[in-house]
Amino acid sequence: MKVKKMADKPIIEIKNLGTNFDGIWVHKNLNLTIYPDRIVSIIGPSGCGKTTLVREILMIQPLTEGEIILAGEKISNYNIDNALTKITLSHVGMMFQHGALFSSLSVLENVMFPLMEFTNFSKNTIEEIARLKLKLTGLSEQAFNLNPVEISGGMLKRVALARTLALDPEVIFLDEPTSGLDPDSASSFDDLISSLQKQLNLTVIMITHDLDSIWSISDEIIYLGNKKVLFHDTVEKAANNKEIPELYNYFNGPRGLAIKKFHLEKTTNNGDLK
Amino acid sequence: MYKESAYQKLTHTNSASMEFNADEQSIILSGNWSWRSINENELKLAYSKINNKFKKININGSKINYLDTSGIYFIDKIIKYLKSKQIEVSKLILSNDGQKLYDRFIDKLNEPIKNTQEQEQSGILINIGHNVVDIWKDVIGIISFFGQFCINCLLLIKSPRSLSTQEIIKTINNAGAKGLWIAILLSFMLGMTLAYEMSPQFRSYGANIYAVNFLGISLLKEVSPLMTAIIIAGRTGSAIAAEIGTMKTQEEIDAIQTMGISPIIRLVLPKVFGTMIITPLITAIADVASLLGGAIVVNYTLDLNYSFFLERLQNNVSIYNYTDGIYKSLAFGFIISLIGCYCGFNVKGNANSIGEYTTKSVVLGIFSIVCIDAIFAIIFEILKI
Repeated sequence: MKVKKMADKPIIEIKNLGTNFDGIWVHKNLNLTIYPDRIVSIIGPSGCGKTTLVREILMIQPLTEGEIILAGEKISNYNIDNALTKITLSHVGMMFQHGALFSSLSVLENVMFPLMEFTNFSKNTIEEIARLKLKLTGLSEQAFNLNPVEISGGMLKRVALARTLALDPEVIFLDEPTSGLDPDSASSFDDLISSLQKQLNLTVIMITHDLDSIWSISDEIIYLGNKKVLFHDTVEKAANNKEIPELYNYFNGPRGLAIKKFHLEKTTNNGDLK
Repeated sequence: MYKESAYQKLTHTNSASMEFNADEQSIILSGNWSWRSINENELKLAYSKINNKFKKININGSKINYLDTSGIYFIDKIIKYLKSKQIEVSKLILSNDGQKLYDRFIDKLNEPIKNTQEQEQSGILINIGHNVVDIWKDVIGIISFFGQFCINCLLLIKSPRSLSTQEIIKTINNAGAKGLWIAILLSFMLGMTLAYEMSPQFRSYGANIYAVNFLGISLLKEVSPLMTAIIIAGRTGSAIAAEIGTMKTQEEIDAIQTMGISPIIRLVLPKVFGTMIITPLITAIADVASLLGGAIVVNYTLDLNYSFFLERLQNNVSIYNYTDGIYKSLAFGFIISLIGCYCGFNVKGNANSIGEYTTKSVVLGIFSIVCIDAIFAIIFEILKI
């Protein structure tokens, strides 16, 4: 079981967060603390405000009340034109569900885009760094000069990940990274995320519905429900938690049980080998 | 990549630096080796100073307090530079985390860059050639699109209920009701301007009363239909191209096709019919507005009062001038919407493409309006109307 020791400083702190959409509270009194160097999965039923929460951390969505502290900076009062906001945002990366690649730019130009904006390097240097990032995510070089519409879904996710990593962020947010991928690509994408997390010392926060990713790579689970964080601990504890019925059903429903068994057997087998 | 950096705001004060220690034959790297703090030109200057007096050099990176991909890239650049000068790098010392990161990149850094992009030839003649071919392709494309349109019109006779009247009304509303005021305003002002500019000419020959003939013929036959068509090309033609283009990128047109519905009947026919209905109507109103503008001006400049203007207009300006203009505007409406739809269907799946084809719909639309206007002039001349 992968339980990491608590680092002394949290990377994200959310205090009494409230979000109101036209009179409906999506979050109310939500408190959350995330420590660095781990893969955290945010799960919960559709419409419980997972994406909204991430959008609030990234300052795309204004908060109704409460505050968010990202990498030691209080961001709830920021606006996007603020110079400090720009610096803070360069420490985080976001990979959107459908990639959100710029369709008018080639794959390579997509990765070069943030580097062009932030760095003072020559164009050649930027291009070579962008090539490195794309190779890091395992994309073949034939695809570098194609347009995003011309490449497959799996490749699209890799390009999106490369663009997310372009500025060497400390924290990356992944919105359903394995959705729409075949099982084989999905598990190799999981491996990629996990190996990159270790090598680049990233904090990965992902929104996912993929139970396989949750079991195989997540260090921690955050279960959102009833407008707040209902559960925040390891996967094993989440799967065996009977106090929260929704969470129990999540991991022990018809789909969840088979995957749970598979992963529990896998970990015990690994234990035997040792 | 070290975690503390998230809390320290990295600034240029702690920028990446390298020093060459000749006694120890080593390069000492220090500071933040990140994209935030590396000055590419300073670094290049620093490492290009190392001469090839030495055969072996150590690189000591243990003093680096922050390292990211860009840092790795520049360290590699120094190593490559030394290699090119036949200097061997005997040792590269990095901290644990740095070494881990460097190992991840080492094989990727040494891969040769394959240039997969084909170099396109360029030159004035080649560009002209490409443009001519593009124009030819558009002409062929529009003609074949017109063919499809005709076939679908015939299919419509079999099942007239598949034509969406709601869509036609929507088009009429968007093109007509919302575009009417600008058409009226422009025609009114153009009528005034023409009358004002030509007044001295008529006055100098004492041919004041002929100003009515001039205004009647030029405004009814040429200016109002043309101006209305240009406004509609700019407003409606581009809107049609953008709407269909967006639908194309969102795979909505594919969805219509898989339901067994012809996208031409569903999307193109209502837009073309709607535009064909509204263009002559707007032209008729614009005719009135432009004549009113002309009449107001000649009332002051040439002392032709309104009742005289109206009487002379009725007696001396043939009704055919008016009907010609209306016929023409019917054809203009048709070609504008057809080109708008054609451009919309040709949009490729990226954001640039929508803008490109929307612009194209306006340019091609106005171009074909002028061409059709010339053709009509010849036809009317032959028919003597």
